[in-house]
Order: sequence, then C-alpha cells, then structure tokens
Amino acid sequence: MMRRRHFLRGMGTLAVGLPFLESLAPRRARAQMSGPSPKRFIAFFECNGVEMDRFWPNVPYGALTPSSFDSNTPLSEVSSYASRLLIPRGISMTPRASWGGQYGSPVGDDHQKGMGQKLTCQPLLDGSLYAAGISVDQEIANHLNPPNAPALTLMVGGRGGGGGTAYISFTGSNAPAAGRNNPWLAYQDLVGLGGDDDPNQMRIMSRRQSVLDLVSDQFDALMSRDLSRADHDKLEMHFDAIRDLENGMSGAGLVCRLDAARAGEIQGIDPGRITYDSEFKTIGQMQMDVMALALACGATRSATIQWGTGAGGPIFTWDGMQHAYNHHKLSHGNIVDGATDTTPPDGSLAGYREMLFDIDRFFARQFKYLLDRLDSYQEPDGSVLDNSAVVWMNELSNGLAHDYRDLPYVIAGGCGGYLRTGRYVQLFGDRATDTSTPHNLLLTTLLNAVGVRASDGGPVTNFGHPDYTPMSGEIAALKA
Amino acid sequence: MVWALATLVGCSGLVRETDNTIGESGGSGGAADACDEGPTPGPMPRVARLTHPQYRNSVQDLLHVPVMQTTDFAQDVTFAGYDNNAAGLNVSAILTRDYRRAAEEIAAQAVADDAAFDQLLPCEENSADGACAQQLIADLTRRAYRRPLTAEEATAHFELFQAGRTLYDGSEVRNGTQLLIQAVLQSPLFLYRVELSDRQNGDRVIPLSGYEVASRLSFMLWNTLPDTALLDAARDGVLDTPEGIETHARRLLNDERAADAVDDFHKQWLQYDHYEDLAKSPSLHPNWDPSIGDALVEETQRFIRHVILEEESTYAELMTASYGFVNQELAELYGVTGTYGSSLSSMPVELDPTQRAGLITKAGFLASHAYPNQDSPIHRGVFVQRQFLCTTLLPPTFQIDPNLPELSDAIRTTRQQVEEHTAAPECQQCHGTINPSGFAFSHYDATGAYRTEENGDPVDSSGSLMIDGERRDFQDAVDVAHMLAQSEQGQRCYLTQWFQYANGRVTAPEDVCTLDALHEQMSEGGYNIKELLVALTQTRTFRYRAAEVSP
Repeated sequence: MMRRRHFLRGMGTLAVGLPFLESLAPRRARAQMSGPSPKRFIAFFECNGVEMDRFWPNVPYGALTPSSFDSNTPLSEVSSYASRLLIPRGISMTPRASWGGQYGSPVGDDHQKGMGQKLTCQPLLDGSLYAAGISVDQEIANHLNPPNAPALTLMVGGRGGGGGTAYISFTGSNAPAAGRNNPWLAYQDLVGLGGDDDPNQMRIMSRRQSVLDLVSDQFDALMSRDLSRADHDKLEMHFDAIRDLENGMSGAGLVCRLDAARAGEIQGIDPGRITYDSEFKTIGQMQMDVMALALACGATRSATIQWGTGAGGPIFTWDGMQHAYNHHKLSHGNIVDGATDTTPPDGSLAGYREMLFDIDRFFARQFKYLLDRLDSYQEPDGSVLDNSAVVWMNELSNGLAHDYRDLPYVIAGGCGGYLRTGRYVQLFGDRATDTSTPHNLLLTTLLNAVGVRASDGGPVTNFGHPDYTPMSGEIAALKA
Repeated sequence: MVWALATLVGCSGLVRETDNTIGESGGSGGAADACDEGPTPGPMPRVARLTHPQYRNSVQDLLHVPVMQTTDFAQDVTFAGYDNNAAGLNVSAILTRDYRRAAEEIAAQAVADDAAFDQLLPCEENSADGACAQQLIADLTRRAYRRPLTAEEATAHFELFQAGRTLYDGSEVRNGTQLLIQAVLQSPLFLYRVELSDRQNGDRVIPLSGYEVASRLSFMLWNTLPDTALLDAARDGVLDTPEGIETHARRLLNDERAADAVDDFHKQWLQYDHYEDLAKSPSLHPNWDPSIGDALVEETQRFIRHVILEEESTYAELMTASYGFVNQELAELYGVTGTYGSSLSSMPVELDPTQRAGLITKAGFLASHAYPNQDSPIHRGVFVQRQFLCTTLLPPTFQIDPNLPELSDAIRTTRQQVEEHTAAPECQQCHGTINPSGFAFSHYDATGAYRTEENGDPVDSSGSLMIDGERRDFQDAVDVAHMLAQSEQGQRCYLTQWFQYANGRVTAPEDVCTLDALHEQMSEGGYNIKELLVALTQTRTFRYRAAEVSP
C-alpha cells in the first residue's frame, strides 16, 4: 500500500510541475489516434412491461428498413435508425420467477425479481431483496473503465421506498448502486476542474494535493489500528477511491463539457422537484445529455438509465397524454374498483391499452433522443452510437400477467460491427416447453461485444449465478 | 424487514420470539441466561460514516453556512429500514467525488461569507498571526473531529494552513482557512464517527472515552456533531459516569435540535416521506390535490414533535391521541368544522375520537397505503404488522395474481374482494394475520377520509388480531390503536425500532438482555418516550464496547 501511495504522490507532483495542457496531451493523443474507438454498453430501462400486442414490428423476421415500422408500433419513432437496430424476439428471463435453486424459496415480488435479475442473472437475497452478484454494467466498468471509475448509473424520478425495485445496477452481492437522479450533480461528476483554459488549474491541483497528503496520513493511522475486517474494508474502499480520484480532468483527457446554454439549464433545475412526475421528461432528457457526454468523452464505458420504478412509475400527463393513473396501475388495467376483465365495458378502464401504447411511444421517443445524442459524437470509425450497444429493456413483457417470456429488447448500434444490425431476429425455441433463449446469453454476448475478456484472455462464456445460467455462450444469431 | 433474529424458511403460523416472526423459526432464543451478569454490550463498528443528514447538519453547525445543492448526495442504501445502518454507509467512488466537490464549494462559501468567517476567526483579520491560525485550527478541528488534535496532527494541519495562504485569491488567513476546511470536510476523522478506545476495564469491557460518548449522544439525540458544552464535559470527565451522561442527554433533549433526530427516526419508521405526491382518482376524489402531501407530512411530524418533545408524553399518547394539526384542506379531510389557513394550525385541534386515534389514523398513512381509487387493506395491514408489531412477513413463495376479483352481488366491498382473493389456504398462512389488521381500516377511503358506507353497504371494520400471544377482538382501527398502545408487543416493537436507529445497526442476539431490561424499565414508567431516549444512553451497549472484535 505504501509503495502505491508514494507512486501516486509522485505522479501528482509531476502533474503540478508541468503546464496543464502538456501534461494531458499524451492521454488525449492516445484516446484519439490509436486503434479502434472504445466500445460501450448502455441500458435504457423502462419498467412495468409494454403493450405486447402493439410493440413489435409488423413484418416477418429478417431485414429491417424504415418501412418495417408502421403506426401500430411505437418503434416507428426510431424507424430512421432501422439499419442500426437489432431486435431479438424470444428472450426470457432466467430463471422464471418461480424457480428456486440453492437459495431456496425465491424472494421478492415479480417486479423486484425482474429488476434485480435483469442485468445480473442472480437471485435476490432474502431480507434486502438486492441481487446476489454484480451487474453487467459494473462488470464492464471493472474491466474497461479507468481505475475506480464505476459505471455511470442514472435514474429518472423517485426511488419509491428503496428496496428491490429501486435499483438495477449492483457492484456486487447485496450492493446496489444508487443511480443519481439529479442531472446537475451527474454533470458535476464529469466536469471535474474548471476547464482547459482555467488559469487556476495549477492552484487547484496544488490544493488537492495538500488535502490528499493530510487525509492519507489520517487514513494510514486509522487503518493501522485493530479494526474488524468490515471496518478495515470500509476505510480501504474509501481510501482507494480518494487516491484514484483524478487530480486533474476526469475521463480520457477529452473535454467533458456540454455547451454553456444546456449546462445552465441543467444547473437551473430545482432539486426539490427532481422526483416530481411533471419533471420526468425534462430530467430524463438532461440525464441522457449527461450520459451521452460521459460515454463520448471517455469517462465510462458503460451506463444505465432507469426510468421510474417497477410497481410504480409516473402518471403521464404530457405529450398528449392525460392519464389519471400511474404506469403500474395502468399496466394492470383494472382501474375501476374490482375490475379484472381486461376488456371494457366490464370494469376495466376504457382505453387503457391505448394509454400503455402511448407510454411505450413516449419511451421510444426518449430512446430516439438518446440515439440522436450518441450519434452526434463522431469518432474516426463512426459515431459513438456505432461503437455502442444501446439496449432498451424492461423487467417484464406483459405487465398485466407479470410475464418473463418474450421480453422486449431493442438494441441500437452494433458495437463497432460486433453485432449484426438491421435485423429482426427470431430466438424462440419451443414455446410449449418454454425453451426460449435465456437472457444470460444476451448479457454474455454484450460483454464480448464491448471487449470484456475472460481471465484466460479468451471470450467470456457465461455471466451470472451458476444456478441461474444453465446454458452458456453467446447468441450467434445476433453477431455479425 | 430483515431484522428477525431467526432464520426464516416459510410462512406457517406465528412464532413469537424477542421480535415477532411469522414463519418457522430456527431461532436463537438463547442468551437470556446471561442477563444476570449484566447485559453484554452489543456489537458496534469502530468507524461509522455520517449519514447525509448528519453531514449537512454538521457542516451547518461547524461553519454557519446554509446547506447547498452540492450536498444532495446520492441516496444511501437502507438496511432494515434505516439509512443510518452502518452496513450501508460506504464511501463509493462517486461519493468520494461528491465529498470533494462539496468540500471545495462549501469551503469557498464559508470564507466568502463575512459573518460566517468572523465566527471562525479568533482574532482580528488584519492582525492574524500564526498563533491566531493555530487557535482557529484547534477550535475548528475540535468540533469537526469531535476531539482535540494530537500535537503531531496540529503540526500537520498548521502546515496545510500555511500552504493554503497563497493558493486562493482572498486574504492569507481566509485562504489558509479555506484549504483547512476543504481538507477537514474530506477527512475520515470528520466523515466517520471513530471509536478507537481499546483498553478493557476490570469488568472485561472497554469503556468509551468521554469524547466518543459525546459523539454518540449528539448524533443520536441531535443528528449532528456535539456542541462545545458537550466537548467540555468530555474533557472534564463528566461523561465517564452514567449520571453525567444522563444530565447531558436531558440537556440535549430539551434543546430544539432534538427535533431533528426525532423527525429523522420517525420519518424512516413511518416512511412518511411517502405521503408526498400522492395521486387519487380525479373522478372519485375531484377535490384531491397531490400538493396536500406537504401538509400530510408536516401534520404527522408536528404531531410527533408535540407528543414527544412538547407534551413529554408516552408511546400510548402517540398511538391514541385524538388531536391533530390542520389547515383548511386537512380540516375538510378530517371533517373538522371551522376556518383554517393554508398553513397548519399552531395549536392542536381535536378530531372526532371515535374516528381518529394517533399515528395509524393519520390521513397521510391511510392515503399513502391505498390505491388511487380504493383503500388497500393489504398494504395497511402489512405495514401495521411489520412496523408496529415487528412481525416478519415473507413475500409469497409462489406466483400471485395481483388483481383483486371483480365486484359482484356477492362481493361488494374492498374487504370482500381481499377475502375472496386470499382465501386459499396457502395465502391464509400469512394473510390470516395481515388481513384483519388491514380490515380494521375499512372506514377510511383512498384519501384517508372517514366513511360509514362503502358501495351502499355499511362498513365492517371488525375482526380479531393476535397480539401479546392472544387473540383479541376489535371493532375498528381506533380499537386497534388502543390495543397496540397497551400491548407489550407494540411497546417493545417501538423500543426495538428506536434501539436499531439509535445504534445504527440491526439487533444482535446479545441485545436481548438489554432490550428486556429497557422494556421492564419503560413499562414501569408508562413508556414515556423522552425517558426511553435517556434510558438508551444508560445501557452498557451505549457506554461500553465489547472486548471481542466482531468479524
């Protein structure tokens, strides 16, 4: 530990001694000039299922073109990206909700399981209802991000009471990563110092070095005491994070900045209203601006954005929608007291499926907003979108039935040619015995697509808990 | 809820232990025989990070500047329902960055604000010499770290102060102070409550130092760092005796800052922040405006403060008092006549005692545990069982259809819908317990308003409840409130909730003796809540550390 600390201090001193631009120049050059651009993974998470009868393209499996999407699917909103979309059909969650495995009775309700398992392929832990292992976004960050830079984890709206539907990202077992829902603070994470031309750069770095020296001694003194393992680990995690905070700019040395007008708008938000339904779209789009920037400027290789919570979600009263009930309630349709029939006039809310369709279309528009942002950042070998796999997903398919089969996935971007885009792909096995494609195979494919390697240097062959990942390997039909 | 002492494997009948567990128990149940030798101190971490509210309160108290958006840190993960549980208080890479950003912004603000800076500076600014700087460092760090610096630490801080003199654009003393604050707010000695005492006494336990006790007292009772009087008491050895601790516990509880800790505990126990932004069916409840949420939260908060801090009253009062604080909107919801303003009344207003009794009949609880268009006995019943009776309920182990059966000639009320929906024996294993405690609230609609009829039928809110190990009949929620108030199970549950909050951890097997002793003492005194808080500071768990290091 001591050796590492002194090494880092040496680096800090060196950085202070050089003109700022010069000290960053080699990193920037490396980022821009050597080899192919980095590949990224983005999860765009809608909750509470979709309107399954009007979600998918109304065309046979095969090539996708702009005309593949008629007005009966919300995906018509992204028809201009047809050649860069990959829509797999027939993926189911592994395991199904009722499975057990060595953890005994599975815990959590269907939404909690769907959200906790989606990116982890892990059971939920009894008690906390948090996943029992790391999620794929954090796994990617561990392999590919700068040291100690976790995956970017963003949230839109409130977290409800916390618990199993509040998180999709996990840094390990029982360790949910709380998404930021304040876009100004998310942006501040990227901005770091004032800017390339800030005359105070040298002084800022000197101050930080002085602080680091003082608190390093304090951490050393504390950690030399007779502490429990838990206390020691806690301090060590904190100390490691402090030492790995870049003393200068964050990211790969590119300037992580939004234009001043947009930054001003984000700064102007009222932090007390961030979780209000009425801010859902505004905050969501700010978060996507920050997310696209973070991915483009090299601050992270993976990011997630969670819109609302399972068994919750906003009441949509914008973009032509005038709903009186939140997304979850609508997903169950039985709005009128006691109604269970899914067709009016027997008690269900007249037109609720149209409302669900409108919600899906809202998310399709937000998905397009994100794709537009990613596509606006050009790299030598295509746009950031081309070098990413952006996956629109959901913890359920049919929200009314809490179904885990035939899950909605829409992938955009080919991860630099790894994925075969422009296709609507059939992945159902035998529906009668529910042998559709398990979702750990998709996560395994995505890990390889962004460039994660197994410890032996070969491709990753599986991801998740052994009990929950009976099949292994990638989904060949998705690969170029 | 995860704080059962027992291992839970199913949901088949009621087994009472120190808490109340529905499920088969592989339980501990032991430890009781050790009580004779005096309760063993429970397991406490040596380093526990400040919660975000504690961080904000401490910054304000230390630097006299208002909190800023920069301290809106990512929400901590809660364990066992409380965000001060040390198990969840880690510092991730993101929070590290947050702490740095906040420290830099707050330091700049603290020295830019003349009034705030003057309070830090022990001399005239234009005659500030080295001695002045050393005094400033000693004063600031004594409060920030909750103990005096060692000589070596004082030197290191002075060097940092000196280095800072030329690193900003202000006067040299302001610059040095700014760097000092920037460092202090990122120091583990500020960010963690550190307890390093390790010398055993003759009783084979480790007495905490006076300064460590001072921190425990102020963070528990004020949710912020100790004031100078408490630090002086630590220095003078006053906190080395139970009597000295009691004196200061009472002093803290009589200060207005006690409201912050009382709020923080009850907000999490009752989850009353969920009362905000509630939507109700516009066709059924056309007058409902979600902005009423602010008043619902404030009413519950005011009520609790009034009972505990102003009336200095009991758990029973909290559970059964029939008064509230209302504005015009709440007055209409509660059926109170008279004219009120938009803010809550300053004095308590009497509500109909046949309709309202304490916390569980507050409109905020009732409206937040309901659907937009109808009440939800299951949500209300589960909450009462878990939070007020400390019952551990497991989620269903099989797939369930969340939709209630449709209304018909035979099924005319929400209660009947729930009865029909959960009639299967495998459902009844838990719903046999949950449902009655929810049906008791049948008089309150989706907004928490009182009703006597539902869909043309008279409301049936009667039932029976297992409490203190026996089945007791009730007519309605007011009955249930009184039953809870008088029951050992309800009292002990409230005590256990406070114990977990006050110690920042879930209960451990060795806490049984302490809880037994506290419960006995509280029962004798009528379960006065302020006395309960004082009693928590008198336990061996509060004053000592177990000699064995926990894993």
